[in-house]
Amino acid sequence: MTTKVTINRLATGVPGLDEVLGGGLPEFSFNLIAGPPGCGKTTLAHQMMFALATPERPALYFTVLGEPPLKMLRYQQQFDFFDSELINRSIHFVNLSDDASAGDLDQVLQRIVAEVEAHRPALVFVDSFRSVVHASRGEGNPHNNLQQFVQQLGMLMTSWQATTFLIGEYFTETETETDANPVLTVADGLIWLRQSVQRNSMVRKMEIMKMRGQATLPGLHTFRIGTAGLEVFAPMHAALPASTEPTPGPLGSRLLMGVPRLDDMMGGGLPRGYSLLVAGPSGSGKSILAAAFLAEGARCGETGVIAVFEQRPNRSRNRVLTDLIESGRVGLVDSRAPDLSIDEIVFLLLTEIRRLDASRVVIDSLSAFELALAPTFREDFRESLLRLVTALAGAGVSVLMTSELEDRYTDLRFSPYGTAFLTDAIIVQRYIEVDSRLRRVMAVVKVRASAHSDELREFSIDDAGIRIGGMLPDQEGLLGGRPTRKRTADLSVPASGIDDS
Amino acid sequence: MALQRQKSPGRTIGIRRRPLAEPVESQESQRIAAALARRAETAGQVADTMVSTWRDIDAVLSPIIGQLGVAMLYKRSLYLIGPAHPWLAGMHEGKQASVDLAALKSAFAQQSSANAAAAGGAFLHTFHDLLSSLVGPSLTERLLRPAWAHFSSGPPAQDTSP
Repeated sequence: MTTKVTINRLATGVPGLDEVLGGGLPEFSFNLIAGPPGCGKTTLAHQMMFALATPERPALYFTVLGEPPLKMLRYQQQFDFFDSELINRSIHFVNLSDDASAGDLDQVLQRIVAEVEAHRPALVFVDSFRSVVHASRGEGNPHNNLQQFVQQLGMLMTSWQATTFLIGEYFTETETETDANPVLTVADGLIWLRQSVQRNSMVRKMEIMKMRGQATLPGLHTFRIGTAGLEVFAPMHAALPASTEPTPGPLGSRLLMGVPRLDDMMGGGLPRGYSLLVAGPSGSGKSILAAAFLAEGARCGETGVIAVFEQRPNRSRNRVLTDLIESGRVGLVDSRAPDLSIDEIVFLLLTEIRRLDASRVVIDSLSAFELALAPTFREDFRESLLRLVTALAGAGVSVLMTSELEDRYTDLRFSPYGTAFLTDAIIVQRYIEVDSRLRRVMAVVKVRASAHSDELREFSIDDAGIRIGGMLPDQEGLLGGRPTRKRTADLSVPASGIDDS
Repeated sequence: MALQRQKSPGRTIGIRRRPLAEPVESQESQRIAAALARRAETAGQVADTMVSTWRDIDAVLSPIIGQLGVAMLYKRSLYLIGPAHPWLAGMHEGKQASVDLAALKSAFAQQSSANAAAAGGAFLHTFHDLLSSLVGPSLTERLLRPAWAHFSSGPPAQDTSP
């Protein structure tokens, strides 16, 4: 039996919003867009209106007191979506302040009815519905007035088959609970916008508190407002196509690392789809290793993506990497936007991965990434990292992440975040002191489900990149940073491959 | 910020950078004055044209920006051209939140036809400029299209209402 009503879902035209809404906006729904001043309510309404309105399905935008319409038009036209030609054609602005200032809610409703009958809109916006009620001189409880007004409007619009948005400012959430409750009962959908401020950072967040008839994505979703309007960063599981789910099974092919002898140490290279953490102190060669990883991919005909979080632009980068980026074989995600969220970064990465059909991804470095995140997200950085790694694994790429590691010689640490367990493979780099020189050693600590070398090998860096040497069998206590020559060692046997400075 | 960003290649009227406080008898207002003179030979006819044009402007704008919004733009424009046309001075005063077209008509009707046409041109042009400075030339052109048909130097206005 297919006699049930089919609810059409409208594409809102706001990037990411349809995913968060659970597939778009139900047609003929009666929605509330609420939040404190400056959170983007009017912009969201305009963006959806300009995307959805057509001469056949026109939009009516009622303005009431509050922001003068001239100001609203002045500022809204700064956005790319604003098209003057649509006005008076598929978009009609109607100012209700003359009716509202008379203080008679019935008169306001009558005016709305008259305009709706005249324009036959498919979309109706009332900005702001609370000032309609505040302006009324009605006796009795203003809550009752608000409820009555909204209920009547709701019935009216549903029977007119108009998808409706009431826009209203609510300063606090407690205010919503006490004041908006009756309104929430009537509304089919509630889009709540907020701004979270911590220290000098501000992050915009959106929550779909209610949307009848469909499963929305729960929780707070970050968004930005740019010249194109709002962009919502839906969580990655929503953004991922289901078809790219990797099938767990025996290890497939391996990716070569681009550093001679390192592949052997890893048991033949990095298994495809793995995440690799390269941890080491400043200057130990993590970025060079990462660049070699991407260069090797390019040599094999693969494309890659690198995300850098340097706050200083145009700092001299690795020559190899610059060439790869300029030739288009490696995509660059270089977001210096302040107050990043994990969802935004994943969104940027996945967009670039899809654009290039990339198989290798480098994040250089996690330490800078943590600093680039808005403070509000740093508290659960481990969780954020887990989501990042999961999302990238879901996209089927192999990831190399570098992590700054403060050299401590009293303990053996692999990552400053306690996140070593998140990655499938770990390479650690250390400095050691031998004969009054700083030397570098590297070891493969972990390659999940694969045999790998347990050797601690010395390596050096020259113009050709990383050169892995041999072990230092005559030294012991390397991980303490100050190895000592083994007393029992045969001193006549020189350590192999370490004399390349 | 580029407040005058234009989406569609519409007509640009007036010079953006010119301070509104010193309206000059620009080419545009001369053109509007000439258009007025063509349509109206006597001062009385200019007065009638001013009244009907303002009725049209009020009809297209007040639904969007409210009667008060239109009245404020009307008064501000009168204030701006007051120094150049002393006989209009004082017309912007008063608290009423609406456009007093009767007073406008009688003030224009008492002038010589040349004076009336010049002041009328300056008045409408200043108003157009003022609105443009607030919402940009392309939206201004879009909003005023039905009311501005007589003075337009661009393509003739089309009736675009559904």
